[in-house]
Order: sequence, then structure tokens, then C-alpha cells
Amino acid sequence: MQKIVIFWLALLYGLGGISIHVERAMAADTAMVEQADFWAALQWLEASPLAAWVNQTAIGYPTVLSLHVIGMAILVGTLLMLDLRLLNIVTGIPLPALITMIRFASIGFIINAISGVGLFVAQATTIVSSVPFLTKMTLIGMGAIITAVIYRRLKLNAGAWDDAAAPDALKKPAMLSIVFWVGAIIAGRLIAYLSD
Amino acid sequence: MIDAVIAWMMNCSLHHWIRSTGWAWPTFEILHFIGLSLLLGAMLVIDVRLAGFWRRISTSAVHSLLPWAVIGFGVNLMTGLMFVIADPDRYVWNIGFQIKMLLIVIAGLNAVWFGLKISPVMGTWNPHGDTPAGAKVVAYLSLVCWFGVMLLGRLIPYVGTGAG
Repeated sequence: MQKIVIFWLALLYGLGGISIHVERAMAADTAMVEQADFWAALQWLEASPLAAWVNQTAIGYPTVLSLHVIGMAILVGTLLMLDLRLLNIVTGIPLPALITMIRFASIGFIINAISGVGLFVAQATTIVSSVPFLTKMTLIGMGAIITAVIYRRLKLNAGAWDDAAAPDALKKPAMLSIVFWVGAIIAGRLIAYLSD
Repeated sequence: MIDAVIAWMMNCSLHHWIRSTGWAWPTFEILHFIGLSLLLGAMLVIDVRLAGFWRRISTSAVHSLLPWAVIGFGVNLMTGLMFVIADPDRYVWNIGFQIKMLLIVIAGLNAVWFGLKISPVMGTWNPHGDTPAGAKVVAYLSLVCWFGVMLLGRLIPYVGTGAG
């Protein structure tokens, strides 16, 4: 488990580090070929029809933003209720029903992955080196992993746990889930304030 | 009357404090988003069951989520008030904000109706069965209102003022 989390952290901060490095290298006009390719890909994304639709039409940006907040409410809202149930703060909901709730929450995840691509391509070259953005992506990666862990454990044991108080084994994942998903919201909000 | 309220807001010390404190607005925004997740998350699960789905969950069990909807609403009422006090001229005349407030009132009346007419008879339902048509209307109206509230809130910066 820890290994997976460390891998994700390393991967995402590695990507962030590369992009920041590329930016500096470009400024110094000493970019290496692969770095220039990476940069060119971001510029290509920013010049794509999708980016143009988001950036230049009146409805583009508000539409993508609206979808992103709807997806967020479905994803994080449902998962927060699930976490409260696993922490036994909320009672009465049978544990097998939580499997259905995770599937439902994944609809929100899909909406936000799609709308997130729209938001990303619109400012690909600048957002890629934004610290809050990279932090948000890291937290989403870890949130997805911990949610998958919870899902798997529920699937394996839900029959035996039905209606009982949630087992201690799921308390730590539930707390981590709250930290990661609420953290992703916080980091996401800060993109507008802490990016330059 | 509205002008007097706006003038009062512009003069109160909270107004000046929020505007002169860099971290205040982003912090309230973050809290507003967390409150939104609690409110919408709780209402989604409650309303989906009240609409007749997820029958594995008993109709009384989803009741234990109600306090979290109330907490989320409380957080957003407080932080929302901060936004309005900090920038009353921008919000009060904004058509998106006005419809958002109207939808909150409708959602509130819907909740009162639920409390008075639906909740007292829930004990007579099959806890793992379908729900009556009246309950479904309340559930769908609630979902439409709260998602509408969220949508309009998000669109406030993009829609014009009601004053034209």
C-alpha cells in the first residue's frame, strides 16, 4: 500500500519537476530535444479545438466548470457519507450498500476526468507547473487508490460484515479517504490563487 | 430598503476585514466547497433512497445522514454570508444569485413539507421496499433544487446583473 502511494507521489512530482525544469530550460534557450517535445505537446494541446472551445466561446468555460462542480459533489459528497459510515459516525447503512455508493461516486469521477481534461488543455502550458494543480493530481491519485482498497475489502467481506459496526480495518482507509478527497478540493480551489 | 442593507454591509467592519485580508476569501471558498460536498452528498443518498432506489438501505437509515446535510448547509450559510458582505453590490443584483436564493427557499419549503407530511408516516412503509409517489416528488424536487443551487452558484461570475 505505502509503496503504491510513494510511486504515485514520485511519478507526479517527477512530472511536475520536469515541467518546471523545462520552463527554466526554455527560458535559458538550452532545452533538450525530449523536453522540447514535451513542451510542444502542451502547446499543441493548448492550440487544439477543445482548448479553443473552452477559451474562446462564451459557454465553453462556464460549461466545463459547472460539470466539474457537479462531478465533485457526486464524487466527494457520496464518498464522504461512505467514510462517515465506515467510521461509525453514521450508522444503520448496511456495509454491502456502500459498494453501490462507490459505483455511484465513480460517475462523478468520470464527469470530472472529462471536464478536467477540458480545463487542463485550456491552459496546459501554465497549469502543468502549478504546485496546487500537481498537489491536487497527487491527492486524486491517492484518493482513487484508497477508494479502490475500500471497495475491494468491502467486496471480499461485505457479506460477513452486514449491518454490523464497521470493522476497525476500514477506519484508517476511511480517514485517509477524507484527507485525500477534501485535500484535493482545497488544492483545486488554490489553483486560481497560487499559480503564476 | 435593499440599498440600505448594501450600504450597511459596505460600512461594517467585517466587509473591510475580508477585503483587506488576502487569505480570507480563498479560505471561505474552500469551506464553501467542503460544505457543498457534505450537503449535496447527504442529500444525494437520502433522495436516491427516497426516490425508491438503493432498497438495501432501510428508509430510516438514511435519516442518520440528515445532520450532515444540516452541517453542510450551516457552513455554506455562514461562508456565503461572508461573500455577500464582502461584495454586496456584485451579488445582490446578480440574476444567478437571485435564482440561487429562490431555489434555496423552495428546497427549504420542500424539506418542511417532508418533515410535516412524509417523515411521520415513513414508519408504515416497508423499510426495504418502494416509496410512495409523494415521497418521490419530494426527492426529485430536492435533487433538482440543490443541484440547481450549486450550478447557479458556479455561474454567478458569468451571468449578468438582474438590473440589466
